[in-house]
Amino acid sequence: MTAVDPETRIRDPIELDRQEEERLRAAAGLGPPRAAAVEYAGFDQIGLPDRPPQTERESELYSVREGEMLVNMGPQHPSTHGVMRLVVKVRGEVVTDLDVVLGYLHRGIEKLCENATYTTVLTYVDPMDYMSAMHNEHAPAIAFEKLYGVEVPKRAEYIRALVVELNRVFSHALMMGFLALDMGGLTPILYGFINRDETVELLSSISGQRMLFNFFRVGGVNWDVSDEFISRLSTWRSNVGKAIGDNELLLTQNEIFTARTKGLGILTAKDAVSMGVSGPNLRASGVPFDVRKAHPYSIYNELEFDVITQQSGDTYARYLQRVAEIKQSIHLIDQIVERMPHGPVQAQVPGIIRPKPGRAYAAIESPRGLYSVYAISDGGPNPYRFRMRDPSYITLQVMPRLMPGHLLADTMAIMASLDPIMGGVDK
Amino acid sequence: MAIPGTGIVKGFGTTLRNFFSPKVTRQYPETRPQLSDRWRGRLDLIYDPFGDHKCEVCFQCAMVCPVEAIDMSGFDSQGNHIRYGMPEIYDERKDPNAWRRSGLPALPMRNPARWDEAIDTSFVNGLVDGYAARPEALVAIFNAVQTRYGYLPERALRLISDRMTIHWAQVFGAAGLGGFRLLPSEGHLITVCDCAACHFSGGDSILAALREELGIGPGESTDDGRFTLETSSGVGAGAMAPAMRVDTLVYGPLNVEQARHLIHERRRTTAAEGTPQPAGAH
Amino acid sequence: MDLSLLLGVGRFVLSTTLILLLTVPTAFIIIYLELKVIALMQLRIGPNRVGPAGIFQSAIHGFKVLAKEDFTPDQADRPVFTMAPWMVFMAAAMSMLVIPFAPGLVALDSDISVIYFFAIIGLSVVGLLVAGWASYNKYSLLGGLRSAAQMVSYEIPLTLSIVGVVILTGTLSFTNIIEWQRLHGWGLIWQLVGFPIFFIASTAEINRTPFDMVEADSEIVAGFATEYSGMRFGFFFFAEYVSLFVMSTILVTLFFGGWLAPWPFPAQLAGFGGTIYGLFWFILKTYFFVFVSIWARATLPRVRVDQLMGMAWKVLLPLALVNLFVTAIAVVVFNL
Repeated sequence: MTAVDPETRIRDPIELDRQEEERLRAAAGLGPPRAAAVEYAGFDQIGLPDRPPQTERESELYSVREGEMLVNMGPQHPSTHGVMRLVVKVRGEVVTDLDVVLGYLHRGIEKLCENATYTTVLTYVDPMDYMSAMHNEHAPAIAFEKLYGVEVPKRAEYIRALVVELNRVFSHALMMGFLALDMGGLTPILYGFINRDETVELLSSISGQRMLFNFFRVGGVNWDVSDEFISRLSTWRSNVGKAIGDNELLLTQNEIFTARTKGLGILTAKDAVSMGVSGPNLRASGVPFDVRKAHPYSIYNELEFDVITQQSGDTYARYLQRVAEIKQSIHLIDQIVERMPHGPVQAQVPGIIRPKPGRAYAAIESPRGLYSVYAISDGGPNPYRFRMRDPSYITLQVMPRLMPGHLLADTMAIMASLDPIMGGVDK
Repeated sequence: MAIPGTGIVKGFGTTLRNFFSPKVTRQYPETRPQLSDRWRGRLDLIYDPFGDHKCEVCFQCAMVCPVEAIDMSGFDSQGNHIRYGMPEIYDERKDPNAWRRSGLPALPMRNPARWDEAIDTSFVNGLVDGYAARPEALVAIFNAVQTRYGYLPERALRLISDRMTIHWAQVFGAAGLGGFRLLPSEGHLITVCDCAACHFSGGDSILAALREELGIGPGESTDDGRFTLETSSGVGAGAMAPAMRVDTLVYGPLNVEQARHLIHERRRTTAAEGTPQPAGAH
Repeated sequence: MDLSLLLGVGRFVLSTTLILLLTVPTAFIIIYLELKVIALMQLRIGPNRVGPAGIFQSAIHGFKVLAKEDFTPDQADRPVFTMAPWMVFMAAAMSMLVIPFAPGLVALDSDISVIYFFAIIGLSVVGLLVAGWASYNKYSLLGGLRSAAQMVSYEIPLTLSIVGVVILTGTLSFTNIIEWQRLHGWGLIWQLVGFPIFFIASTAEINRTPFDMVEADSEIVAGFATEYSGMRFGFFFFAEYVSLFVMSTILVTLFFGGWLAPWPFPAQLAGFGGTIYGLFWFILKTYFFVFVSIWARATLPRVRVDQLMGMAWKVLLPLALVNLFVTAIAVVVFNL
């Protein structure tokens, strides 16, 4: 099999196309091409009832030039990671413009949480970003503890760090699989799910559930971990190491994979910072920002780890960043297990708490970036305001900047490399 | 610079190695997963070492349940029946009072006075005790209650639900099975089976004959109040198709003449006919 | 009427019918193999409920597509939409006519079977293109255009790569090519460059992974087949697997000695015994390459469309030309 040289990729196909057309016209003795007719095509181009454009952006997107076509990808599409909808303007196979349409999975979780008591809020946030349910619970738990002014026992903090790192491992491992799946590689996703199953078995043995764990409580965690659980971690580590290793063998050095990811969808550090990207996507662009290090919460200031960064900011760098963070998380788990103290896992907190009126903000590093919660208490049993910042939602706004100029096939690879989870985006 | 193609070859090696590796799939119905002790997939009431419920009907769980999934009832220390649940959940929507509360026009019931008629609680209690409140005896208890009242009164069902600690929805659902009536009938209840087996072996001709004989259609009663005709797919006598039930006795297989004969026979006998035996077909 | 003409017509009708009937079990076997092999490589068990080890799974799939609603989009070009699956399937099935399965077991033993084969297998691109056009769907259109671009590009290195074999053997008949290989050794030894070119180009020609962007499900849903359902989709599905089988048989015929065993053919096995013996080796080799294709599907991600084109024109075509010239010069110089 001959390697596909990444250099064969056309740099800016639209521009090359125009130059070629001009050259051919000049050679044939024709005048300059007539001005491309721009007309507002309207919503019926993508199968929706037509209506006049409401915004400038809308009229720009729905105006097609000659040779352009609007393609509606999603919300029912094999690879839109749930129910994302992309309105893509293509010129042949080249994407010239793109818009992300959101809201198909909106469940009003923030509003639900405002009508629930503080202790039951933690059950509602689980299905938000369903790949990292533990992280979803972590931030509200910290925020409510700040509001209520309760000290979390040390062992509970260690258990929390342990479970969120376990969760990060399978979230990143699945991202490797989804990235490959969106490029047509069928196998890595299965190895990723083997990995997830191993991890989820562990987490269900301490939390009782496999997906929506509901393990965190205000002032601690629901259950203690047993020594038997700690001893299972070593077999888990070897199994996960094997699954990740298989995926790495299938992808990291695979010439087809590298040709399709290197140099694609480059997110510069400046862009990333100005558009609010966080987490692995930001670090893959070379910005060493990690909430665990920058604003340490829980016990992260007691652990030893470095902020991993990549330099190039392309799809391949985002992939490598995930792989490196899996290894970092496994390393962190080792440290946590080694240092875990004994003691209680739950502070004395009543079933229904009424914090003093005030505000609290808590940010954590979720597998997708800075996930934070802002809660206002008015003294009642329910939060007066409960607001979540989901990193996937913020990350998605770079897509119209990354995609144009790439081929249709690359949009899915770039999107998968950003690793959005629509449950979190639409809340 | 590595030799081009090594990455691809490594990938091929990985898949080939896994081709011969042990598989991780669990064959679900044959091998069940080992659920952890902390598994919370199913709500359950815990028993104490003496076999009694530990639940004290304090409703705390129902009150804190975030999705209001818990509807519970029981008896307090004074023996009063108490319950907690959203008024608009499944069972009460069928209740005419709930209809009235909701502002919707209440549907007229055929015999509203008797649906929640007073019942002999000692009879039902004795039945439940006689079967030691075993859930599998539910159908037998229903049979006995229907034999006595001719239908299953709501209060009897409520009492069975409470005494046997079976959810009201489950009791109500079980009562909806074939062979049980939730409303009292007038006179003799003639039920013609319209299940597929009966229908194709002549049930429709029997129904037509009875229509002609009684002068009423399914769901109606004769003017003198002696017969009520209905169709049901729940006579539960597939082996006897075409079958027909008169009150609680199931007859079959029948032909048209035999069906007419059964009606004539009932016409001849007086209204003081003794209580028939429970149908054996259930 | 002339008896020999009658016999010839009878033989033709019989052999075409048999070939047409052969496509169904072939597709079933390969679909089952694909399900099972990919599953095993992904550490799954794969089909295991329908029949022992799930061997009837693909038959069930076949009956399932038969039972499904045959749906035509509202604004589709009806006659073309209806014809397209048939064209693709017939192209695949008709190309099976010239495959030499075993000594004496070939439906159409023509002197120009190589030319016939490449003419017929090239027809399927027409079916795919019109399927994409007639569906009145943007994804189908993109898929149809991709298939046209891809298959037309890869026809050239594919055809050039076998010209080397043809020059070497001096014949256009598959049977004679095998006969030549019996005397001189397998074509692989003589065409070390031609074989990989043919292998890659044929994979692209039949739209198999990693060159399956014609129906790249993560990008353009199912490409040309997006709007097809029921047995029309089934025809596309069958055609894909029949083409895979056909391409593997041609690969075996040209480069791996067809029905020849790796060692000299035993002389005492003449007649019927020889046919069975040859068929055994032929099927064994063919399914080995089917396995390789499935293996690749389980392993590799998909190549992007411009990389694919670049590889055809910038790598495979020059290589095929060089191979052709070197072969031609060698034939002249060494008087092979």
